[in-house]
Amino acid sequence: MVHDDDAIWRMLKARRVAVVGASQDPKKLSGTLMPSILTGGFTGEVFPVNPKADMIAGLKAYPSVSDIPSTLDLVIIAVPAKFVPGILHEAADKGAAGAIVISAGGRESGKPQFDKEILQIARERGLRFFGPNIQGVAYAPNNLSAVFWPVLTVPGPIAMVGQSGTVVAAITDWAQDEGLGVSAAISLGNQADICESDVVRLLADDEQTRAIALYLEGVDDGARFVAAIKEVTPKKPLVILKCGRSQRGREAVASHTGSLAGSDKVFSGVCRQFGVVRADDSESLYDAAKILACMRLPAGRRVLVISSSGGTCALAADAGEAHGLILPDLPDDLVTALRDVGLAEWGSFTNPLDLASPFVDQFRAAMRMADEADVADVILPVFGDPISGAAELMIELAAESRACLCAAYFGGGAVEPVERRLMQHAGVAVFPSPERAMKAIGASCWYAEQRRKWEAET
Amino acid sequence: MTSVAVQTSHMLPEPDAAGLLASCGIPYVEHGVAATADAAVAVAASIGYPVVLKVVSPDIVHKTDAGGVVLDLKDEQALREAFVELLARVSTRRMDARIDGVLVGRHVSARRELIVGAVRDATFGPTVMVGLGGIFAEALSDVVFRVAPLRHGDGLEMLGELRAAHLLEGFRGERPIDPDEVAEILVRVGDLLLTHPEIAEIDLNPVAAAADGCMALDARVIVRDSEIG
Repeated sequence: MVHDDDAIWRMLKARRVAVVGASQDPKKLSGTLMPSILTGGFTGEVFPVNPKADMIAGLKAYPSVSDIPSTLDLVIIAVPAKFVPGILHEAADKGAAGAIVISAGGRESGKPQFDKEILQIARERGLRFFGPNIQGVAYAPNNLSAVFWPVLTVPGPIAMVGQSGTVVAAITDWAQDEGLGVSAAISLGNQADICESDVVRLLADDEQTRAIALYLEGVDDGARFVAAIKEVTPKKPLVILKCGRSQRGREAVASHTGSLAGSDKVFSGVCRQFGVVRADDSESLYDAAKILACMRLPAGRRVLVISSSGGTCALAADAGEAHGLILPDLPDDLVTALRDVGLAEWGSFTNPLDLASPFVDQFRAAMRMADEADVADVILPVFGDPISGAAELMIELAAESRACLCAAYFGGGAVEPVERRLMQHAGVAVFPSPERAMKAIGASCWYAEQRRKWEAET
Repeated sequence: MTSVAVQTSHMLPEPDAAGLLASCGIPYVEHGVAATADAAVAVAASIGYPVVLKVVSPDIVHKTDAGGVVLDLKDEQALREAFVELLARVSTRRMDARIDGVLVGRHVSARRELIVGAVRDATFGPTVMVGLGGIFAEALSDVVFRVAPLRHGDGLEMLGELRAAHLLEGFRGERPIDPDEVAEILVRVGDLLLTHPEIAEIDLNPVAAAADGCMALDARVIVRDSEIG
């Protein structure tokens, strides 16, 4: 299959950008667009286009794209639908690779002819475009936040792509708040031209991206989608949240982006067949993408849970079983060794290992000894108290341990957000509950198994 | 002059469906078609009792509703009586239906019955489905899909993903079914859809599965007719 990827890359890496419909009015959606681009730290040239203004956000404004005294790479369009066809022609005249069509008014509002019309113009003029009906496109390596919100401020390893601007924004917010960050935040909207298959294929080759999270409402071209995911999943982990599992959900999808939700069971089968991690809610989408972006792929399903609290041990154990993880018993010599150094005097020497002690040094000793004894493929400390120094410990051990490491921080009062952010910022996956951690570990193990299966086949 | 394209489809008579499946390496229960009771007895003698009778008619889609199915006939006398009664019943209930004979098949009572389907999904094209037969697939919606072409390993993974997978692995001392045989059927029904664009849908229900192999006991194969302008 031949893809015109170069044009899309040129758009994401654009140096000269026109913003049509740029506005000074903070009450308008388009009023947020220029501030996003500028506060996002974009270092290329920006040309606001608005016939009613001379200056916008401190930059000279132009009455039309044709009036811009420069060639262009990318044109961002946030004006009513009826003006879009003319602007696309002007963009092509200026040598642009493509456009981000934020404007609504296509198939989502019962006017599919709009989508078709602009696609035809784009094809004739050699342009590619995102949208229409989107919140925007942001690409961290180029410091380009061509979105209403959120502005990319924390570069990170997760690429977030979706048919809903709000879902994309929410996951991006979570990732940035935690210090994990994103490599891209791309909303797809009606996908009249550039679709989910194009974007995930491209991002699989993006250096900064280590995992792709995709929110989908429907797939228009099944064959193209299957070809894309088959190409992506051997290179980069891909996590998909697809809604429309219920009748009401399917109705909501039809009125949102005009997609047919399709049979959910068939979609699940496609994901399993081609190594896509399927998430069942927005938190799982984020958690799975996080662990796949941050943690090495585990060699097996053995998990050791170490906690400072008995309650979290039980929650972790239950979740482990639900997600097909194995919690092996601790060998006698490890138990003896743990006793000898005075660990878990009031706790329990099993798996989950209850240290019953909220001190980071106890965690350090137990994690080191367990790792040396090779009892697990993944070690999950659950910091179930305000434990300072947890992040420092995780960063230290992640570099040297044989087992894969991730953490849960749960019930840690004011210390918790600080430690979580430190951990996440350093690239150590940390989850807000032991259950979410175990579920994410399950996803990571499954993807690792797919990779091993493919490697064995070749 | 205006013309409207009409896409119609029809179900293959069971002997044809069975022949098609067998030619693709999908095991089908031993059977023969008889026009008379004497011929039915001859078929039964060659495949062994007990046997089932199923009416063969291009006009009857729901054979059971038409009174066209009799199961578990243990000897020649039962077979002769059932044969005559079946023809009488069907011709009363469905006076319009053409009858091409009666299929005589070996009666197999399997510990585990599966359903295997292949359909053309609107988005993903030819897809293959497996579930446990009887009430499980429908009541619990416990079915798993893959898109064709399938590899053998895909078939095995499908079985493993059924919530009822434990029932196939030998429960309470029963012998497990042979998953490789089922996986091979799943691969082949997918291939059948890929190589025969005229086939719209295949439904093997049930597929008898045991430790020593498996075979389809009944089949619905829907074929699209060429477009009539």
